[in-house]
Amino acid sequence: MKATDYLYLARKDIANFKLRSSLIILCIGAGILSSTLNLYHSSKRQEELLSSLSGMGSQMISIWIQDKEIQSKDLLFLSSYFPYTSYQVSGQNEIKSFQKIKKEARTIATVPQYQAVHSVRIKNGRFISSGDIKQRRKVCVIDTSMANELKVRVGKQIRIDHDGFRVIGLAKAEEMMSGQVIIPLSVCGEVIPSESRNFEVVILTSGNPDVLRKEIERILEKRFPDKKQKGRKGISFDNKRFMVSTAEGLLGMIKEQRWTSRMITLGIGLVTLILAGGGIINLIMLSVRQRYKEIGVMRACGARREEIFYLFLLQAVLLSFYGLLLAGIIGIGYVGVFGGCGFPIFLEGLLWSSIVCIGVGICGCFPARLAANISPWEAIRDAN
Amino acid sequence: MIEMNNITKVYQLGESRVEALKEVSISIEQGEFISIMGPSGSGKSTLLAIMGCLDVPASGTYLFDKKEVSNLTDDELSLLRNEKIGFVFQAFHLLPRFSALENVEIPLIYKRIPQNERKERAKACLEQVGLGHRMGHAPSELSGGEQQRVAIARALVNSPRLILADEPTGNLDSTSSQEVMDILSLLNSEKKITVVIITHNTQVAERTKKVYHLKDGQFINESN
Repeated sequence: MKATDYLYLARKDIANFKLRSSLIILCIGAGILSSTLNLYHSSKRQEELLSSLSGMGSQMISIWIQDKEIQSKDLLFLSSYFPYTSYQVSGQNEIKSFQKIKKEARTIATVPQYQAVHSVRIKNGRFISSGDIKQRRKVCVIDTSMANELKVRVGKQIRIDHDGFRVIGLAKAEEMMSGQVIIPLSVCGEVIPSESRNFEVVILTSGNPDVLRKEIERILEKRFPDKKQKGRKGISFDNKRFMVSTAEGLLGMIKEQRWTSRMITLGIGLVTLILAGGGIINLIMLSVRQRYKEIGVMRACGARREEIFYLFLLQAVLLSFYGLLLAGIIGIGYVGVFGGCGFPIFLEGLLWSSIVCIGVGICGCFPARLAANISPWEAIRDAN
Repeated sequence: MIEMNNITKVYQLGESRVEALKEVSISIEQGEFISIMGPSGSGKSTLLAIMGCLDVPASGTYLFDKKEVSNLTDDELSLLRNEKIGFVFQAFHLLPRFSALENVEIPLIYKRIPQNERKERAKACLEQVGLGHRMGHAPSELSGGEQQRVAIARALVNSPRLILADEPTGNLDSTSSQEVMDILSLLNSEKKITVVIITHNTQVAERTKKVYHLKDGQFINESN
């Protein structure tokens, strides 16, 4: 039998079980789509973090304060050791312009050194100054893309939750991580609730980051004595009160997280697709059972065992392929509209899914083998 | 053409052993038109299955065109059925999702005939059985007689040397039965196709040139 004839017969059979086939295709499509988009989103976020970290260079040391008892003022002494020290408290807030345009954003309350440490370039206006901090001015810096979205410019007011803040500067969008609002550190208590605050100190150094990291750890341990736990290379945990990391260590950690999240995503996809594989076996078994007589007739008409086997296997593979196609079309549409530049990541996910899909299609081997082994006379006699 | 010697067939039903055929011997020449009659359970259909290479005997020899069938592989048996034997069943056994034309095309698909030629040959066969105007209809849209004529067209399409018909008129009214028998007679007389009919019906058997009577798995007599 020719390949085109196999396709013709298999498609006819799939069409015969419209509802069941559609459900299986939807199930496979949903499995592929959810795992691929999950992978796409987590990878995209991590890629953004990686690229922003890479952009900062390897001379950066970050300190995350995990103990809520430690306040930003307790660490101000670090500035006497390192002139380029940025203190930043972050949280999630709702931003609203006076045209009532809303947006979720990450609010960062910080000091003027933030600009030098994170290489923020101001396009219009100015960055946060020492005066803003001293006088607790309600001012903010946003990036140009957010300004366009909110339809605001320098000198206009925006609302962070319920507090009005005047926009004093617009940063170049490519220089900041998107969706961030920068405010003076001294007003953070008014907009970032203490329970959802993340406190981080970033130091830009000119020396060897690993040597400096150890030096910072030594200073912090002296000031906040506690039991020390050894961490991975480049990162140490001080009884979880704070974490000190070089940019290199942080990159390594993000890469490791990326690998873990990919494996988890693939695991979820695999479980979904294994279920779909079960569905395929079920559908093809049903098809074999319902077409028991037909298999006998086909064999009487001259069909060979292997032709029956490949016919049923092709049905399973086609169902899998249609699921993949459905996920691909929806996914490409989604990434095209909302994804921006993350297309290669999505395609990578789709490629992984295709490999799993082939496995799912091969699940059809079992019922196909049963069909091929049916005795033609028994099938015809059973029908009589 | 067909030479069967001492064919036996045994079915194991639970613990009991049923001998469907007991050392049956029959010889059929090319161009013969015969019927095999007998009561239910006499082994008629089992004999037809073995003759059509759909089943294998427990013992005995079966020569088809002087070739021992038991020596053929499963693929060779499929090829033999495809090229040399056409089947017509009591319940028609048409594929319900396919049109009359597509049903007739099926044996040609397994013979790897190109699509255009396939359609032409299937159309010619359907016209031959008087169904040129019903080609696009699904089996459910056809009467019993028409369905059986489609089944005959399907059996004919590969120009077989043997047509095996198992109760071909069993589900048909007298007019349709007459039409089906006319077609089978014509195929035998004009194309010299060997036709073997299994039937209960004496009127059908009378239309054939030779009648064999089977009882309890054995031939009891032969009449012309």
